[in-house]
Amino acid sequence: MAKTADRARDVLGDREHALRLLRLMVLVRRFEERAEEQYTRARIGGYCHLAIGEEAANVGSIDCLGADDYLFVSYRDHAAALAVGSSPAAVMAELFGKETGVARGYGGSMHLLDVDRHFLGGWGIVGGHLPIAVGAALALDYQDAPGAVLCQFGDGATNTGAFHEALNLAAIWGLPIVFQVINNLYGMGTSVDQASAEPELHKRACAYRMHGERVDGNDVLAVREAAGRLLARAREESEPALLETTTYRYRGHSVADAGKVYRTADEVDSWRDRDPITRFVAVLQEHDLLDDEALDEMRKQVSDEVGEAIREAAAAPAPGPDELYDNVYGDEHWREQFDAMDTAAPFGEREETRSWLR
Amino acid sequence: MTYREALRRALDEELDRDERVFLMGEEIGRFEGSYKVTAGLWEKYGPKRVRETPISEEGFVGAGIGAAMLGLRPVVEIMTINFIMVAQDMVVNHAAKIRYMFGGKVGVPMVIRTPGGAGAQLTAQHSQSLEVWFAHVPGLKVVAPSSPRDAYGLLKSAIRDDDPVLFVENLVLYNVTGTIPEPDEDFTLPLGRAHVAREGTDLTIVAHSYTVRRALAVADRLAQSGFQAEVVDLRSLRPLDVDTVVESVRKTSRVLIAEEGWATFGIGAELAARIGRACFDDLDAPPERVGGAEVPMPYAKPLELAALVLEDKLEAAARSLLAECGLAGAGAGRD
Amino acid sequence: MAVEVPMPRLSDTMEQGTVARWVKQEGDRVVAGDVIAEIDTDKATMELTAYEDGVLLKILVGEGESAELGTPIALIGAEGEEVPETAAGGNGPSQTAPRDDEPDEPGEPEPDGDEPTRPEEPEPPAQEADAGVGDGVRASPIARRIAAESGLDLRELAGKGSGPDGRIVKVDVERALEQGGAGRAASKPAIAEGTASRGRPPSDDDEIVEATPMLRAVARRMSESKANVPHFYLDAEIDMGRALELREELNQALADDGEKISINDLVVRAAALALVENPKFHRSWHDGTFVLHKSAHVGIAVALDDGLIVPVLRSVEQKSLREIARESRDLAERARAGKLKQAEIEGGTFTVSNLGMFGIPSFSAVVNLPEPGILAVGATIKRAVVSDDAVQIRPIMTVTLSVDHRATSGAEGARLLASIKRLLEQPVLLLA
Repeated sequence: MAKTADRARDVLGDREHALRLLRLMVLVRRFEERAEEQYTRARIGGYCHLAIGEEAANVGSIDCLGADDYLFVSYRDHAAALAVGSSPAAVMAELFGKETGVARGYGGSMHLLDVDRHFLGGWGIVGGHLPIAVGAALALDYQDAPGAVLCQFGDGATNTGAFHEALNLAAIWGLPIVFQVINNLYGMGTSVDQASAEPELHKRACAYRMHGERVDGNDVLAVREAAGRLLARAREESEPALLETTTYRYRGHSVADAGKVYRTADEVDSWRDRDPITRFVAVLQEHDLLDDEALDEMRKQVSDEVGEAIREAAAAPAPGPDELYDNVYGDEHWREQFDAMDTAAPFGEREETRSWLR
Repeated sequence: MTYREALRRALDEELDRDERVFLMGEEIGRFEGSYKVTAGLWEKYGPKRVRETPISEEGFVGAGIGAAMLGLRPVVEIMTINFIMVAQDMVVNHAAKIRYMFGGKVGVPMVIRTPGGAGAQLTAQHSQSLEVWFAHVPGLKVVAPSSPRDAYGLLKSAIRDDDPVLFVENLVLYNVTGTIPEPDEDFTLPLGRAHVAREGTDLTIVAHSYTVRRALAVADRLAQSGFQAEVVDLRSLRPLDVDTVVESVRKTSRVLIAEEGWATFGIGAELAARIGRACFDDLDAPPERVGGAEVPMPYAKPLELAALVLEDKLEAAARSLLAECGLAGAGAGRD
Repeated sequence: MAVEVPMPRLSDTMEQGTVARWVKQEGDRVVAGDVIAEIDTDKATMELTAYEDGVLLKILVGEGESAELGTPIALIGAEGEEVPETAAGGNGPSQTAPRDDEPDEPGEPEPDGDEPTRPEEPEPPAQEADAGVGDGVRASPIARRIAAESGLDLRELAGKGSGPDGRIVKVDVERALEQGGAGRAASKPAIAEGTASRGRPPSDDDEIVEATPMLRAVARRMSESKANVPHFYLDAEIDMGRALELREELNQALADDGEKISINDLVVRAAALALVENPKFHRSWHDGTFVLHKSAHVGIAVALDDGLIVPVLRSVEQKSLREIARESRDLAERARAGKLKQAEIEGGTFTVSNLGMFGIPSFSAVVNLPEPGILAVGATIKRAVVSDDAVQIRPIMTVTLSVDHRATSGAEGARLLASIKRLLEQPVLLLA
């Protein structure tokens, strides 16, 4: 659309920015593919939720964040970590459960974060982080600080009580927050149509007299335009908004889900035709910002970068059992507070039963 | 000064001292709080720092967490502990976990204040004492002051603490009077330290919150029969001051743990296990515990009285323990 | 180099998989992303995609076959590459490799190895309470502790405690110790008035000291014994010549081990063997019933700095001289250090009291209730004795057996003493 092209012109007019955005999407794609492979080799444990196919929806909006803004996302968070600029090695190390990981190996795939870059997680309970994101916006408002909060979540979260309470609070208090629902049409194996009485999710905003809109989540420029506009509005007018970005994940909900029982192969294939990276490449080529050679070079660099990240992560040490109790509490007096809980050990166990760890 | 006034003083002083501190809760502003703890604070500090919320416990507890992650110090009020369950996920799955699962990179310096307790025919859903559920969770701290002075000192410490603290008040305690130190003393009480409220040699009674007052009354009754009971006021459930309890049990060799909540899987269960380990050779009888009747609280007055841990019930338990230890003239035998 | 395709982990709980179907066959071209096989996992059938380009050189795990996670199931490499015939994971030098950007991981602990070494199982804590329960004595832990510290035998209070089902509790023990000093509660004023005890009132030459609970217990038990037990006494003079020679020989043989057998160890063993040989002696009187003892639990009287305590060696008839020596030493040390357990001062069936080291030729001891007898052992002294109608110098030890005449008779006492004498004068029998 003309409007989109206008608003997106700032990217298309800035070659470096455009290529950076493309590279980020390519990086996310490659990282996720390799993460899937590493999971099947049992180097990544537990849950592993991949954003393959959702690159534009994830990174297009994050591209609009400034140094004063904050980001909260769900457990499908590898893309966010890479988008804010965390090193792929540190992210992969967290997936591998190593000390050099972004959460020192204590969180894993679902609990990535980068405090200095204002990326505050990576959250495991569907919808659970929405009230917390509202709290961050509340803090910005309380301190009259510039900045807004971008809160990403999936379609499944829109049916939780926390979604309702969070949007309601943001609306009554006029907080600087943009709620972005990344609608990939399925919450695990349940389609949005089955789960949601109002499946056009952006319309739910009207229950809070909040602005809601929907864009094609696989068009990175459209995502960027909408998010940029709504974040600016949040910052300047302290008004919240709900942005629905429709997209699709080629893989299942997580690595353990083939994603086949509840979807047809045709459906998956039809979405590949609308692949966000392919489309953005086409746009860039149209605008003479990219040629095949540059693209191949970019892919190769990215592949090497991810390969190197895997090597580094594999070589790093895991935290040891003597660090098991680190950071349960952080108050400077926590040791005094807890040393009377048991003379042998602070947490109620006999010293002998812990000796097996040494 | 009453317990509620002591709480208000603490809130006032902390709001004044640190502009990162702010309050959130239902009806805490114009309405002055449903138990009037926050009366006058909205007028003094305004709606930004005394922020009223709709009935959205999950939402505003979560908001408190988010604000705390950005460095503010919210004090969130849950009208009664019975309503904390709708925010359970925020308290247990989020507040308690954040620092640890994020590798220590960010914390939650937040206080959740809430009263528990029963006795006014508030019936099943409004009469619970659930603090033990939260004392179970690593990552949380739980305190339960039994007097105005303790409430004042502990609330100030809780607000200054960098970890999530569940501050458990009690409906009946709100009206209890006592003295508190002057503001210029900047008086605080450390979390995790119990207090010997009354010294004695014949048995130890351990309790927290309102039950401490009942225990003291029972100690007076026992004194008339010639038995000196030592009463230990836990003050804090997590961290738990086992040392003070153990020292007392080593002295008296007999211990009764009393709580307003249900004894099964309660504070008494925890302490009995720890006392068993620390004081095995010092005990004259197994640790005894007594709690509320294991029923949802009924409405009819005679039933409610039968369900509460009244002084009579506590006294019967104490005397039965003394009798088990051959202390003649103790009175009631075991049932 | 050909690259291995491992059995992938396709669910968080999967540990092994079965190849349901090979979609690509040996020799087929493969492009990264192609589905090359279908794998049955614990949950579903999943597709296995290739992660590299090349030719499927070899299938290592066939359709219908299973493999553990990580086991190579196929090889992908360049067209025409030679492939070793050795089976996957074979013993020969590896001619295939995992992907080359996955070197061995020094930082990662092996999943199988590196188990933390577990320390030896700690010994189960001494069953202090239970050992006492073996006698049928139920008592609270603190009652036991106070009793052990004061040398009070809980058997006397057994079943008569104030706790539930007669459990002995703290007040019972405290009361029992108090009564040991009954009359002494008024001792100070009584002494001052000279009414309670014989003798003169205290003067400036005297000092008043409270007796410890232990001494009170001893006093009480001695009084009780003398008051209630009809004692009679039997002496025997034992020629210890051969016993001393045997002991010498044993000690030389044990010198390297640092162990020593004492005369008392010989006596204790002799007494134990004699007791089990003389069942009509080896029984206790309990108010009209006899308690027949099958095993000899012999107490050894140990003098303390101020006081007396009798730790018990159990089942001595089953113990060797070395074991007796070791245990006696250990018990005596701990007795002096005040570290005996309650179980160790209860349950005796006989006592041996030896004042030989003080040069006492003979003495009689007080029966240690509720045992049937106590053997007082004097010093071994060289004497002139008549043997084979000639005067010889022999080392003679006098022992005196005090007996509870309710439990047994003079003849039985004599038989016991005769057994002990025989065993010590033919000491090789002690080794049998």
